[in-house]
Amino acid sequence: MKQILFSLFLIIIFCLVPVQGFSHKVTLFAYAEGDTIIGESSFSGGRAAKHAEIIVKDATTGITFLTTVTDEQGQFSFSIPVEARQAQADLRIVLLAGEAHRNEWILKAGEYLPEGTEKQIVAKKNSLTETSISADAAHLSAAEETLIRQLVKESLAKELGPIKQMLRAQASQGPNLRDILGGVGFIFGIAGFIAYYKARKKRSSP
Amino acid sequence: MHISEGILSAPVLVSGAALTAAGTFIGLKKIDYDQIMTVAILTATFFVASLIHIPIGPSSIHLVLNGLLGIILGWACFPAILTALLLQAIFFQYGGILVLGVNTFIMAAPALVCHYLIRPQLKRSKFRGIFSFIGGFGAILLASLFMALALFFSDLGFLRTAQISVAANLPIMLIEGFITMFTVSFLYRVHPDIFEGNST
Repeated sequence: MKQILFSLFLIIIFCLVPVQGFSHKVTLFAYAEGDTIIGESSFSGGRAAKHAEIIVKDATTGITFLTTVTDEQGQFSFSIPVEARQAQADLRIVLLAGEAHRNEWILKAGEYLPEGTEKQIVAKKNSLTETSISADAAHLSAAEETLIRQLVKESLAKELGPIKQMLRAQASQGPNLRDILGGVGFIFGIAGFIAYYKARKKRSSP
Repeated sequence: MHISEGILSAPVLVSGAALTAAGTFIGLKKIDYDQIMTVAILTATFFVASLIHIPIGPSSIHLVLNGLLGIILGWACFPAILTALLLQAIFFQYGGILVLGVNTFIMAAPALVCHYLIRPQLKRSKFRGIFSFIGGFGAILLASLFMALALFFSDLGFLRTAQISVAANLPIMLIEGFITMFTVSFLYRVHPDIFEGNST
């Protein structure tokens, strides 16, 4: 009877769950590196979203800055639009992967504008002198300052590379066994609730 | 077969939600006490099946099984598919809450069509195989057409989307046809009373 149905269902679960390669959700990940913005897109499970359309918009006004497409690896890059830099606009990067798949990624202005606004720099400098980490730091020449900034930036980029990679990998992870079994549990819970409700009705109206 | 959030226009979303609500209401009314467990098992099967993706060629496909659900459950496929899609939307961000109505309708309406067209034919054991194959095949075909229709009403061009979505789902139509065929004939052998009661 019901056992047969149930065992059929169990077989389906346990045979197929370890199969990797989920999809139906497209993920998008973008970050700035110097003057370009680099992004990667994939369907959950890691398959690259090839030749998908990328639209870059101003997040607040909705004006389109540019459009591009992803390459064979699902990656894309574009140089930061001048208008966006001037307006210090947050970028809304929209991915259209055909067949009704869409996702977007917001890149805040602070993430791609090299040193923030002029005001922020002044504020930073002030705080530096105020706390006076070292008396010399305040008296660095402009050339030295740029050099240090450049060095710090380079080594940071090197250090953060793997972390960015990890984040990307995490973002594109598909559902795991725990999630799936959780969902199945929910379904049977709901069925139990309906059964209870119907059983009460049955009793009250003989 | 899930449409993402933010693609469809508001009228499509609203009408999809309304149709799904009506279908779910009728479905819940029609479920009788003994059928609840069958509905739950098939809901769980549907929920799990659409999470398993098999890479074929350039893309990957997954089972939908809406034909099978329709043939066995009838109107109860609406609450079943709605529940499964709701959980998928919450847990995995497949589809989304706003498009839930449309997505449910896209898969449940063909299932219902299958129920009325295919189920009466299954009584004759001679044609059972071929009809259940048509059921599994046709349910996906109809679903891809419904999906194209939903996109069309949101001004995305019907013919092109229809071609793409039908072509993309062609392998899954064949696979579902066979799976539905084998499942139905298996169930008829071991558990025929599942097809007896509550035929509509």
